[in-house]
Amino acid sequence: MSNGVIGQTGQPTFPAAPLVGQQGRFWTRARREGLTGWLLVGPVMVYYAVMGLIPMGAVVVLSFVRWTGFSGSPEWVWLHNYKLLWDFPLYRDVFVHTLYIGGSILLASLAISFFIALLLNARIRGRGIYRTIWYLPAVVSFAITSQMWNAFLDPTNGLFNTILRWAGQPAINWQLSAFWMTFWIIVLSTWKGVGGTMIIFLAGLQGIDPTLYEAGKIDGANRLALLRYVTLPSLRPVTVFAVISGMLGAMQIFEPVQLLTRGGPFDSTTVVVYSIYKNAFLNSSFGLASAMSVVFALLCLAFTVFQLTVVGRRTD
Amino acid sequence: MSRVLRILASLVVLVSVLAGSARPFHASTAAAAAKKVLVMTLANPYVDPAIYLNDKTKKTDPADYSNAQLTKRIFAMFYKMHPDYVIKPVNWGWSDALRQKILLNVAAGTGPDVITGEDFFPEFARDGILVPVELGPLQKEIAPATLSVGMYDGKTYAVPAESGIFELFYNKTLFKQAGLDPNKPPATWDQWLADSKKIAALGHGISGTATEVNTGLGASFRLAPFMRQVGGDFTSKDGMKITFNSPGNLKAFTFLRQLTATQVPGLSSATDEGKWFAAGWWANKAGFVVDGPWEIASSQQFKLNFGVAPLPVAPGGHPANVVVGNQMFAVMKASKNQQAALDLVRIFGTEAASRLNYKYTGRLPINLNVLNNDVMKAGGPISVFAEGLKVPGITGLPAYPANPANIWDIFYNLQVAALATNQPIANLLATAQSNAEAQLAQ
Repeated sequence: MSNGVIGQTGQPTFPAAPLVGQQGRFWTRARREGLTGWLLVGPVMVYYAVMGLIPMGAVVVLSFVRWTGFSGSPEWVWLHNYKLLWDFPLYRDVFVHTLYIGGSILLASLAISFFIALLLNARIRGRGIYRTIWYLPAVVSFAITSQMWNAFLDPTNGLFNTILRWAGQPAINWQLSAFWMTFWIIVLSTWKGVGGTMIIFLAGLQGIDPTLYEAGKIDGANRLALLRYVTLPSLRPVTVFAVISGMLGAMQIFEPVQLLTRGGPFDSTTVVVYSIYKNAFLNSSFGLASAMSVVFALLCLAFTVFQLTVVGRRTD
Repeated sequence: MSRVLRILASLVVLVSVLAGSARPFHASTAAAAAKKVLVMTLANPYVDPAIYLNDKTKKTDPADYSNAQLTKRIFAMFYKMHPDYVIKPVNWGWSDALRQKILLNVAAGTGPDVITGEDFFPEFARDGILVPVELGPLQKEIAPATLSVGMYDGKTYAVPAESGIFELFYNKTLFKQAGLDPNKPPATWDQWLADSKKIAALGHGISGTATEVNTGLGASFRLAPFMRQVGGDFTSKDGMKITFNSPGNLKAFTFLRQLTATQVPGLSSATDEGKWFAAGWWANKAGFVVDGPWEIASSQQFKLNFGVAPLPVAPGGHPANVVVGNQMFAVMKASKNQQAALDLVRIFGTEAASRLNYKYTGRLPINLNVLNNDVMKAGGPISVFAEGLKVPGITGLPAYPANPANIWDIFYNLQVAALATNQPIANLLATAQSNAEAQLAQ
C-alpha cells in the first residue's frame, strides 16, 4: 500500500516535486523565460519606439507650431495649421484628389488582380511564366517605370502620340491636360500594383478547400455559381487584407506624381503625400505639413477601422 | 532549446549594442588623414576631378574630362592658400533635389561647408543658414547682375562662378527657306512675330518660335525678360508684394500667346528641356528659340547654321533680361571651416578662376575683366551675351518670402493657361494674383 492518495482514476497522486534548485532562487524558470522573451523583442520594441512612436508624437506636436524645420525656433500657433487646411481650397482639394485617384487605383487594381489571379490559378501550361510577367512591374522601381511612362507620353516622339498619328488621329497634349495626366497616374500605379495584389488573391485561391467545389458541382452549381457561392466567400479574409493594404498603398501615392507630373497640370494630381513633401521641403512649412500628416493618418485609420468592422465582421 | 534561445537573445543584444556604439570606418591614406576636410557640393560644370581624371577605361566624355580639368585647377588655387586642407566634393544634383538635400543636412547638423546652387541663396540667407561673404575689392570686379542673385538685405551671401542671360537664337537655314534675310534677325516684337509666322508657314512640323509652355521653372525663366521689357514682373522691387496682375504682364502674355501659336502644338509641354530642344531647335525644326549661352556649344554640336541676336524689344518697351544658369557658391553657417570655406568661395569670383571657366566651358564668365577683355575681344555669339549683361537692372527670379513652391505652382498654372488656352488673360492674371497673395499672407 502506498502512502499516496487514491485518485479518481484509481492511480495514486503525489504533490508535485519542486524543480531542482528552484526554492529560494531568484532566477526561476518563469523569470528566465520572461527575460529571454524581453531580450528577443526588446531591440525591435526599442527600434519601433525610436523610429515610429517618437516621430509620430513629434509630428503631432509639430502640427501646432509654425517652423521652417531647419532654422529658427518653432512658434506655437495652436490650431492655426489645421485652420489653414480647412480654409484653403488648395489644401482641401488635395484630400479630394487623393480620394479619387487612390480610390480609382484601389478599385482598378483589386478588380484586375482578382481576374488575373483567377486565370493564373487555372492549370495551364507555362503559368509560372505568366505569373512572373504579371508580377514583374511590382519589382521594378517607380523611378524606372515613371521614366518609361515619360517617354511614352512625350508630346512629339512618344509612343502614344506616334500610335495616334499612325491611326490618323491628332496628337494629344498629354502633359497639359488635367484629365489625361490623372488618368495616366492611375493607369501607371494600377499596372505597377496589380502584381502584388494578384499574389495575395492567388494565395487565397490556392487555400480554398477543393472539396467545396466538388460539393458544389454535385449540387449542380455551374462555374458562375461556384465563383459566387464558393470562391468569393472563401476569399473574404484575403480580400479584407487586400483592400486595407491596397487602400493604404493607393492613398499614399507619391512617386509617380513626383516623377511624372509634380502635382500638375493645374494642381490636378497634387495628392496628400506629395503636398506634405512640398510643404515640408519646398515651402519650409513643417507645421502645416505635420498637420496634414496628422489629418491624413486619422483618415487612413478611420478607413481601416471601418473596413475591419464592417467588412471584417461579415468575414467572421 | 531555452539555452539556444538565451544564447540567441544575448547575441542580438550584443550586436545591437556594438552596432549602436560603432563608428563608421573610413579607409584613407595617411596623408589625407592628416589634413582637414572641406566638404563642398558641386554641380556641372564643376565635377569631382578624382572621378574623371583617373578613369583608366578612357571612356570619359570629353566634356566631363574638360570640366574635371577646370575643377582641378580651381582646387589647386585653393590648396595654394590652404595646403592643410583637402576638398571632398559631393554631387547632390541640382534644383529641388539639391535644395532638399541641403536642408535635410542642415536639420541633421551634418551640412557641408560649401554649397552650390542657383536660386535659393536669398531664401537661405533670410533663414540664417549662410554666412555673408566679404569680397573687398573683388566686389567691383564681378558683374553686378550675376552678384545680385546671391544677395540678401544688402549683403553678399553667394559668389557666382559662371552666369547667363537669355538671347534670341535663330536658324539661318530656315530663314533662307522662308525668304528672310539670315543677317537680319528681328529687333522688335512685331518683326519677330511676323518672321515666326513665315517660318511656321513652311510646314512639315516646323515651328516659328519654339516657346517653352509647361509647368516648369524653365518656362517662367523664359517669360521674365518679356514681362520686364514692358514694366511687368513677378514681384515688387523689394520682393514683398506679388505683381502678377499688371498691365505689363498682360501685354507680355498677349504677345507670347500669339508667338506660341507659331509653334507645333505640344512641342514643349514636357518639362524635360532636352526633349523639346531635340524635337524642335536641334532638329532644324524651329526658326527661333530663347536660350542662354550654354546653347552655343549645343547648337554647334548639332551643326546648326545659327545666329544669336539680342532679345527683340516691345513697342514702347526697353531691353530687359533675367539672370539664368548662374551657378554660385556659398558658405554654411554651421561650417567648422568657415575661413577656409570663405577663401574657396571667393576664388570663384577672381579673374583667374573666371578665365579658367570661360576657357574650359565657353560659358559666360562673371568677372568683368574677363567679360570686357577676353569675351568681347573674341567676338562671336558669346559676345552678344556679354553685351546683354551690361543692361542695367538685370536680376534673377524672385525669392518669394513665404510658400515659394505654392506660389510658383500658381504661376506655372498661369503660364500654361495663358499661353496654351484661349481663356481671357486678364482673368487668369487676376485669379493668379489673388491666389498668390493668399499664399503670401499665410
